[in-house]
Amino acid sequence: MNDNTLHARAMALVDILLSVPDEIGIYEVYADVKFELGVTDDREIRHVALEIVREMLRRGARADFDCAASVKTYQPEKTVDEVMARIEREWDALEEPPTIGDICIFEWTPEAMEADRGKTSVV
Amino acid sequence: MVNLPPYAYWPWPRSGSPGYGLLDDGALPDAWPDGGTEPSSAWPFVPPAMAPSQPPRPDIQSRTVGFNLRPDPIPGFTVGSPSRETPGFRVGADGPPADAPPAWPNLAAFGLSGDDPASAALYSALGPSYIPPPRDRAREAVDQILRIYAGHGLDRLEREDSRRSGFGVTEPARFEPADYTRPAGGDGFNPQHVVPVNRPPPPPGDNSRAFPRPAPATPSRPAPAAPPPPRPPAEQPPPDTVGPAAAVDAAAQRRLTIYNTYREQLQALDPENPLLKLEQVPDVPIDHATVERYGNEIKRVVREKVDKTAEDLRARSVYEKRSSIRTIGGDADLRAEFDRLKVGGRRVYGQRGQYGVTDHGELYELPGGLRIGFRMARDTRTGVSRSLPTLDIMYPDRRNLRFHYNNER
Repeated sequence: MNDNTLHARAMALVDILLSVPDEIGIYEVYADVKFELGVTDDREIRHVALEIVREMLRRGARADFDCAASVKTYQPEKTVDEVMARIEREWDALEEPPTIGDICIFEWTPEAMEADRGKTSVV
Repeated sequence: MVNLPPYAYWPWPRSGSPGYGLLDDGALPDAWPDGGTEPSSAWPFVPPAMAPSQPPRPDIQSRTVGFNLRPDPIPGFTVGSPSRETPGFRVGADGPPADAPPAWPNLAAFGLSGDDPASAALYSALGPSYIPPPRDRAREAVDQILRIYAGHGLDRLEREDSRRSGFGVTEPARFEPADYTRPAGGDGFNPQHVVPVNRPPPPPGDNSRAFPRPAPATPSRPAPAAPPPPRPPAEQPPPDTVGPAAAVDAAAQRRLTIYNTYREQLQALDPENPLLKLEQVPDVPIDHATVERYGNEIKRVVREKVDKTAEDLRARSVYEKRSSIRTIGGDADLRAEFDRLKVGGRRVYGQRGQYGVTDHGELYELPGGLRIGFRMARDTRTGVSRSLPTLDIMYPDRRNLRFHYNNER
């Protein structure tokens, strides 16, 4: 699978993940890359998963590093790059692939979904 | 001279020649089994219609010696009417009367119980398929018995019979089993009077002396022309893989598997229960193969249960068809499903979030690496925290599944 094909399939996976308002754990992104896209190398899985995460953040998903707190009241990282930097830092700290409860979850609200659709229709 | 009843002995003697033997063509002769003129009650399988209607033939009566080979009645054994025109049967001047029923070997006179393989072979050959008489099978069975228990075959008897007949031997040659004594008095031999000599019982599995062996060669009894053929080595029967014994073993194995599965699950739920502890026996190594086999079976059962539950929930859920996140409503009880699936698992905690140590979510790791979690998720549509019952199923080898319960969707 070349890079272009893999990238296209990764973007399609983003569409699936963001098809309904929900919470998405980063462990679910990891599992989807591994088992849906068929990527076997751990470094490549991480690379593709982070690519998907960045796209989700770009579309408006909010990262929640502390699930007990509301995203609206607790969002120290303001930009996508800041969020990505923390995710990569915490991923590197893990000695094994992320599982449930690790790193963060992404909140995909109806408002964010509507905003994303609006941006898509304008484009 | 003891006047023995006609047809009492088998093999049937030739006409004019004393002794014993088969008919000229090797067929089994006809004879009324017990020599009576009426069917014996011990012969329930002989149709009454076959009772002889003619008196015994005197030319045979005075010279007949040999063995009465009448068998004991076999329960459930039935025989039809033998055809007198069956090829291979000698009737008339060289054989028994035409209306005599077929003879049956008295295996008890040979010390056979009727349950041994040789008797079974003979019964099989002479039994239901006796009409028309399977001459070759019967001859082969008799030959086999003689070779096993007497050390020589039927051909030897035939040779001796021919020799006596051809050289005018007047003294009838009698078969003299070594372990049987002949009662004194009289010049005839009545097999009804044979008495087994007391001897120690053979060791278990030794049936070599079940049949009396012939006496050693004497001047009156020439040595056999050839040594008896060696017995074929006993072959081990193949393992029973389809019979009742195999079914019993399979059932026991299934019970053991079920027992161990439940015991393992109970141990996981209550590890400190002394009744469920497995104590290793000193100096006895662990059977790793068995442990691994049981472990794999447990993983298979757990995976099968989870897969079946997931399929059932997916069938009742609504979702974006490509998404691994499902919403289910109606009467689904995700908590009950979780409680059922977590049996046998151990509680684990997430690093953070609702499955963290300080939060309310329950996460269990099952045998095989499956993880089952139940939590009250935040409804992203309404923003209400801990409002959606959620069942998380995390597979080690495929996409995760998540079921939200929302009756309004």
